[in-house]
Amino acid sequence: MRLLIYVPVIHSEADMGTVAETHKKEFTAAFGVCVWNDHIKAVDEMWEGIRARLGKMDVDHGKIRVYQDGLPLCGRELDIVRDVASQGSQNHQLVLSLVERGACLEGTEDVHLLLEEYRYIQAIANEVGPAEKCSKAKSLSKARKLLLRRRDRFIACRIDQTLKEGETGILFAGMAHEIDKYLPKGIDVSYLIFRLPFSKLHQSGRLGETPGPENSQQLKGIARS
Amino acid sequence: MSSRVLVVDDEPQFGRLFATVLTELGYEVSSATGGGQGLAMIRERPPDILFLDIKMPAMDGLECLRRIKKLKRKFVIVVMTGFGDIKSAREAMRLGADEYISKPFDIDDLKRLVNEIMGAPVGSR
Repeated sequence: MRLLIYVPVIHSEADMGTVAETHKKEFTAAFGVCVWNDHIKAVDEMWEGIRARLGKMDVDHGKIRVYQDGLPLCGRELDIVRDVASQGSQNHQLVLSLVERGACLEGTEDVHLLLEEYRYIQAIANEVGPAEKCSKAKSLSKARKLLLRRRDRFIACRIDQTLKEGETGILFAGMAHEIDKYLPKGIDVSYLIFRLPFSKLHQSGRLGETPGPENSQQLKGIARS
Repeated sequence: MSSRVLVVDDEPQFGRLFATVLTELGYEVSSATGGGQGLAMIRERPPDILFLDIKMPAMDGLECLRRIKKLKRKFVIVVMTGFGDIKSAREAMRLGADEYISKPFDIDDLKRLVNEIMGAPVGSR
């Protein structure tokens, strides 16, 4: 049997890389520092809950493969995870702790597809004001959605190719992903959800967007290689 | 005036649990055991926080959310589920739910969440 534990997540600003500071500035200008701090707290608690639930699982880490959205298949996966984890990403810190206990980290995404997404993010980030950014994001939304489906298919294919009989996969993926739709029937999927603070996505206007900002951080790792 | 919490869950013991835990913290708690009853209570007197179970007979939580979406609501919606699947999570997100939590949850988690939503530090109410 092949089992995949699908962990849907809301990405934090620590995952967002270069666009995080601009995002924080715009968000606090619109909703205030208190709302921002509440959001950070809610996402932190989500990660603490996920960490606690994964910690309670009675598993042999030697039979676990970890899949992370936005992590390119490039041969430097662990360096990238270490780098982003050191910058405060709870997501990557959790991935790293699983690897340190013996789990195997797998590259998940096609670099070219990630670069395509990164270019979209940059195009939106380069717009001057919030209204312009919003309009740009709207004009790109269809193309980004199609791109996300291509990324989902690629990730599902990677899981199918690497997850072996008797192994358990743990997949961390943002809410906009629909990777489970593209998995073959031979993989059983169970979901691990502690809490999902959607209010953050509603207020920041990130609802339904393709989960890309975290890639900018992970792509920086490739650019440096 | 105390903040109001409405719990819509077909298992009445959940409503009782919420009432026991949150009344102690100063919240006014009411409960409904179905989506229809919950909607009627919302229309009559909107809560500050709605805890809505997904899996209910007759009108489930997602259908209830669809109907709430048509109202001009100003309250926070926390969707609860005992079978945490991503399809219902995605749908709840699209329908405007503010939070999605999976059962079972600790009483401390519940207190923390409610106080966080109402903007009060834990234990201060």
